[in-house]
Amino acid sequence: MSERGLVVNAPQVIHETINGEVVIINLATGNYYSVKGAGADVWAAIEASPGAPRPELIAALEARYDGGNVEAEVGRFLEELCAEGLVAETDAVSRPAGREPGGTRREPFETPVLEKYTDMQDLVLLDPVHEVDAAGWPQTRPDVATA
Amino acid sequence: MTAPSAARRSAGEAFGQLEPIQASFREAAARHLEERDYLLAGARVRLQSASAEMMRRLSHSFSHLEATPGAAEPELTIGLWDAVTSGTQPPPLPNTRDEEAPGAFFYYSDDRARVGFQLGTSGDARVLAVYPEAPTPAMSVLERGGRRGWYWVEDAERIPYWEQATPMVYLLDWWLRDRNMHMLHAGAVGTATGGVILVGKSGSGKSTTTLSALQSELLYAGDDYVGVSLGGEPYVHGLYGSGKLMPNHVERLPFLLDALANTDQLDVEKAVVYVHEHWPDNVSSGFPLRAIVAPRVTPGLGEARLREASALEGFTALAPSTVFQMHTRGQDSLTRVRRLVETVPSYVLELGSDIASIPRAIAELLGRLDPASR
Repeated sequence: MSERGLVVNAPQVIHETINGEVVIINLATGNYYSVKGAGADVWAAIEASPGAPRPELIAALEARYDGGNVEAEVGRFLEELCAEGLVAETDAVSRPAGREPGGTRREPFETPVLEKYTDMQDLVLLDPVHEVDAAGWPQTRPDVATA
Repeated sequence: MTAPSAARRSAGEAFGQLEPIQASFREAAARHLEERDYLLAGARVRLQSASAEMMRRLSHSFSHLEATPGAAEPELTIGLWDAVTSGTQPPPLPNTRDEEAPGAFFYYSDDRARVGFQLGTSGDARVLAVYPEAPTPAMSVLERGGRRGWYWVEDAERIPYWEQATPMVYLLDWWLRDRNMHMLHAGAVGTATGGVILVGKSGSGKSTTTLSALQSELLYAGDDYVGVSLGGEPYVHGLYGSGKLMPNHVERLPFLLDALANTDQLDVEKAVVYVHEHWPDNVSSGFPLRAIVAPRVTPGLGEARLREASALEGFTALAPSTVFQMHTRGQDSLTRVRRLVETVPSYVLELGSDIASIPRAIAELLGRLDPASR
């Protein structure tokens, strides 16, 4: 089976980075998240290389860090991002961008953590949004009159 | 009269098309039309209503911003009408399938218009018997790049109290964005030379903070939603003269008791006060934005106190609640909020039992942040 790529699950997932920390919002679930450190690096790698397969993302990050079980920890983190619906798989596979040239010094690795906040869920459950395009409207049900 | 039921009606592909919306409004307006002008966020906005009841309910919160009618051409004209009063058929509405949440929102946009439909509930007497405040179906429309908007409801008599307190937030948010402004889920207080927005989710103390300012020298510019200009110096635009808070929080602000608009409904509604009617000299249409303040109820604390916060703290206090409340432009909302927190400083305001100390703390902060004092 060919390896599939990973992409940020837009447009239902939106995100911004402030002072190195990424705030990610899942508009479909009402959950929002923050990631920093290695987690922010993983997110940046996915965003910079949409469609990159897991092994290549992991390899790119392994080249960045010194120490730690990068392969297992980043792999687990990627699965968590997928499970939360923040990242989606795609058949449009691409190669990750090469590491920027620079010094050879590598950063110490810290386990990436996805901080999850659920206090806005009620808004989405009470006021669900159905955003559709012109072709996306469901067909008129036969039992409704348009008199 | 029986309302044409939005829940049973569907027009499929016609939903979102401007011509049938205009035609529906014209048909209703041919029977009755009244209009009033308001200055919202520095621009003249004209409400044209085919329903006296709809005008009454939707203009209440803007009355402090009313302008001399006809003195100039409006930058935006919003047509208001309902099916019950006018006896007209609804404009084309989306097929709402099996969605049952009254708060469900159906959003469509193209290069001509943005259109949002709130499902609401039917006017069935059995529903109203168990849910007297059942909100009426509502549709907001804004023509892109134009000067026209429309707001239709099924039954003007069932426009809920929260819509009366902060009418047409989606429509006005779309319009503000086209003018490089942004509707934020925030309160705002300040002085003529500068103010703060109060941000945070429900229960954070935002309303207590904004309404506490009514017993101080600070001016009030809004409690739930305010407009903010993003170009150049950030500027807060007060739009709504209303304030809302949980009924059990009124005891912290007993001076509000005689001003509440819905004392007899507090078992099912938030307490609403139309600030501009009771404290007209304390209401402001806007001021330069000096800071973002996130209130935090802090058990055991007496006097309120401020501490500096990171841009990230300001962002997380403001962004999720604004994005989920103004949910039709997600990434754009988030990006605008990031730009804002990178432009003005953020603070956490720890709230204690001493309510009078809250506006004092804000006034002291504004004194420090006033460019003229530096």
